[in-house]
Parts: sequence; structure tokens; C-alpha cells
Amino acid sequence: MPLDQQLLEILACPNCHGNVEYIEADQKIYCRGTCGFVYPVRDDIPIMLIDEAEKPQR
Amino acid sequence: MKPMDRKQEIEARFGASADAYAQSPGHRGGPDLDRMVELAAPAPGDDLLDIATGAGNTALAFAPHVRRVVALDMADGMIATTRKRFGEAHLMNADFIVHDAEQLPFEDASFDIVTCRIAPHHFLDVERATHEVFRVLRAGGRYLVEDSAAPRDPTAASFLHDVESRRDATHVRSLTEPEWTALLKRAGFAVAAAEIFPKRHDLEAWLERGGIPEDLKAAIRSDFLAASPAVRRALIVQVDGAHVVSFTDEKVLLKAIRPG
Repeated sequence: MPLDQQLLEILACPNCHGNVEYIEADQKIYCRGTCGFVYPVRDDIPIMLIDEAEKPQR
Repeated sequence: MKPMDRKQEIEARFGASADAYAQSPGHRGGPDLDRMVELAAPAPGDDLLDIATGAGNTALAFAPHVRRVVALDMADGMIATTRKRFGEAHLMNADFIVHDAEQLPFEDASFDIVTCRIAPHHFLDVERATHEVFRVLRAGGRYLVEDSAAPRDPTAASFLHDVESRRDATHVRSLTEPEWTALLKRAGFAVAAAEIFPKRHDLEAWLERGGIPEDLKAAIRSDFLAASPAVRRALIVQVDGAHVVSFTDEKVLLKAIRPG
């Protein structure tokens, strides 16, 4: 089941407030703002906790 | 406490007891929840966010009255329970997200109503959480918040904070009604209503929901029995022989508006 489009329109990165993109095949939500954090989607539920996000290597 | 420890603590505390919170008479609903819906005056086109939804009691009460609901909780177990209950109620207008209250994962001005019921006393930074609610509300949007109120009597407040903290390691702090009003105003809100609801707690059921060891329960029972007459009066501690039956604290329900 895909995530609701209306939800994706208001969803933002909790860390940098940047736009996010959901890639269903990955079951992940990617921050396209400044921080680039990646949030898991488990069982169609976005896990937006910053502590559980994958952080890009700098 | 490190953030990850905190997350684990919350998950352990609430993930396992989701069903207890779904069933608890105090959390499931009552005159305070009815009044919250009434004060919010939900409209069929409204978008609503319920923060720290727990077992979803508040989100479920509002869902039939609004366009859509986003239910947020830090504990996966609570979110799973809430989603299941929405399915059982055949309510399809909800989305579920695992997250905390201090940094909301939404664009500015995304909601018409934000609700948060009997949860802010768990927040590590209630000031920041309140500013975040303001940010995600649209102009004219309503924030309905209800929480355990600290007694105005300082001795009773100190006693209650102590037993609450030992019963529940995730308890941070309850505010008094004037502290709530001041906090909301600092965040930019206009406070439209502040109402008090006495809430009687059966001591044994209250201890049971804490999920704490027997020796700690016994110590808290003894503390209630040994409390000063002033504290017993302020908390309406009811005793039957050597057995504490109940105590009563207050919930404060506030309606705050983001000015247009």
C-alpha cells in the first residue's frame, strides 16, 4: 500500500524542515533538504525519529 | 538520559501497555474528551494532527468529524494499536507516523486542529513542543491540549510529582493551569479556554498501569498512607482501614488559537 499522497505533501524532514521524497521500492523517505537524512518506512508507517535516521557520510 | 535510551524507555513503558491505555476509563474518554471535541468545533474540511496519540482515543473521537487525521506517537506499539483500532472502527481517513513531539515532521501551516491529550507531562521540552504546534497550525487554527495539572498547593504538587516519577520513569513534569496559559502565550497563542476536570484514580489500577515491581508499588502505597493531612486533603486520598482506595488529581484542558 503506498503512502497517502496528501500526507507526503505536508511531510517534511524533522531535522532541517526540507522537502522529503518517498521511494516505495526502498521503503524509505529521503530528505531532499540540507541534511539528507533517510527515514525508514515499516509496515507503511514512516519512522521519522531523527535517532533512527540514516545520516549521510560527510 | 541519552535520546536512544529515552526512546527505548518510552517503547518499553507504552509499547507493551497499549491495550491497557486503550481500555483505561480515564484515557478512553469521558466528559473531558467530549468537551475537547466540543471546544475544537471540528469542521468536515479540517486537517487534524494528534500528538502522542497513545492508543488513539483522541484521534478516534475526532476522526468522524474532520477530513483527515494524522496520528503521531513515539512508540511503535502504540501506533500499531491505534491503526488496528481505526481499522476496526472502519475509519479510513487517518495516517500514522512514529515520531516525538519536539520536532514535528511537517511543513509550516499544515493543520487546522492539533490535539494532545494527557501526554505533555512526558515531554522533555514542552516549550519547544508548544512552539512546534504553533508552527504547523494554519492561521486561526486551534490547539486543544489536556494534561495532568500540578496541584496549586506546593506540598501536594511535590508529593504527586515524586510518586508519579517513581511509578512512571517517563514522567517529566506536570504544569499548573497558570503555567500552561503562560506557556501558550509565550508561543504566540491566544488562550480561548482553560477548564479543570477532577480525575479520580483507583490506586491499584493506577499502580498497575505503571507496570512497576511489587516492592515499588508497596512503597508508593505506604507513601500515600504516610502523607500529611494537607496532602491527603489536596489529593482527596480515600482510605479504607490501612488500604488506600483512591486519590483525585486534576486535568487541565485548554483551547489555544493561532491568531489569523
